[in-house]
Amino acid sequence: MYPKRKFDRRYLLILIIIILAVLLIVLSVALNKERNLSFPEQLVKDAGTFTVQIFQAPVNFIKGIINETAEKNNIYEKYKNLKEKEEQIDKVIAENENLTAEINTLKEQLELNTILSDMVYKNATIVHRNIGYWYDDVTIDKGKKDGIEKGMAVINSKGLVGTVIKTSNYTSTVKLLGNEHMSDKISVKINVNGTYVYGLISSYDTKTNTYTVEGISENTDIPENADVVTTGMGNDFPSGLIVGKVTKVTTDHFDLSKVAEVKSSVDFDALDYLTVLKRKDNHE
Amino acid sequence: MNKKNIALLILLAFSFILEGIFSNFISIHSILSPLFVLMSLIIIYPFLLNNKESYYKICFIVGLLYDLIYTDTLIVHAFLFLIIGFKITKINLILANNHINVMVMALIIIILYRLILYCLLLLTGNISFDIFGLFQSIYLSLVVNIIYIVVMNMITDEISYRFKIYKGN
Repeated sequence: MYPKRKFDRRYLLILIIIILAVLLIVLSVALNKERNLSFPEQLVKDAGTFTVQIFQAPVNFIKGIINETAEKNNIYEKYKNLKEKEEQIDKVIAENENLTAEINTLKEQLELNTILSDMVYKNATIVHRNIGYWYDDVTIDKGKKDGIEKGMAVINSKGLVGTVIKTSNYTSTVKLLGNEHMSDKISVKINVNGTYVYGLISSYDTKTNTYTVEGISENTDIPENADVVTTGMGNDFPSGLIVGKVTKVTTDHFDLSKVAEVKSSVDFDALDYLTVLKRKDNHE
Repeated sequence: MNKKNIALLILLAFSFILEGIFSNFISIHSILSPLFVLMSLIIIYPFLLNNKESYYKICFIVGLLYDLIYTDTLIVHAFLFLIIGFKITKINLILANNHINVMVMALIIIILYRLILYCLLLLTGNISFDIFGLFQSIYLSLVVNIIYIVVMNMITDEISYRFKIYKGN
């Protein structure tokens, strides 16, 4: 008889460590926001979202009626505001036509096919909002079949909302900029009396709905309420998308550059309809 | 398909769709953060008291669908809901099924779910350490989910009585 071999506890420990490591790698891949959806995932997501949309239709209809009723209550105030704006609109249209003509002439002269502010629009409706505390993203009802691609900018009527991070055939996931765990820095410019100073959005504060813009030149005085727009550089965002207005300016820890707090023009709690933008390529 | 399975399917589908619809009408950090699918796992357990294997399968499948349709995270919720399923089984050994205990169970499960998910996201480098964020995520989920689970518990009690479907205690 051979003596019974004793199980070495060290092997058990190694086995547990290996299992945990593999599990962690699998979960890291699964939780990666940049991961592309596989075909079966896309299929299930499209079918599931379509089902949710069917049940959501009557709810949206009732919501629309309630909103309409609420709007009717202050219709006179709105009429007065619009009347005031109407007087300025002819002037703005004329200016816009003039500027468009100038841009086209300059593009011809410089032999440019596209500029950073050229974009293609695609309207979409939010189907589902992932409100799990750590995912600030929404699903929209437009996907690859509608020409939506990863990295496209998403706006609403107020300004820049986020980026497309995942696409299936009929849906897309949009990561909101109103997200405290922002991984990419966004290049922006601040309008200071007609000239622009550049900076990078580095973080977002949920409580105050403000972005922190870093790396701004020390030499420029930035007034409060200055407009902040995207530069179109460094990522797929077209130039000139409204981000917000400056509320406070301080200097960084080393007194080398300025840091601005920018109040977002978008209310991330009230998103319904979005527009996906694509910067025009040279061949488009 | 028998009456019990139809009732469970309707309950799960209702919670699943309601969570999707409800999420569109509330703000991100609202106190009405819904976890209806998670709550439905607590509700369906008494119906599957004698068939734990089926219960675990349901937990896994529901988690997988949740991943695919709502969070794009593939298997995270599938395993998470399975772990939660095991925990619900254990808690049910201690607590009887009544409205107060169901509320206590909901509280424990919400804390457990948020804690495990937070640790996973922290370990995989998706979020930075923010203990206040964890507490906030827990207390923001309590109100609406506890109301939901109590209401659903009453409804399932009534269904079980009317249609003579066995619901364990």
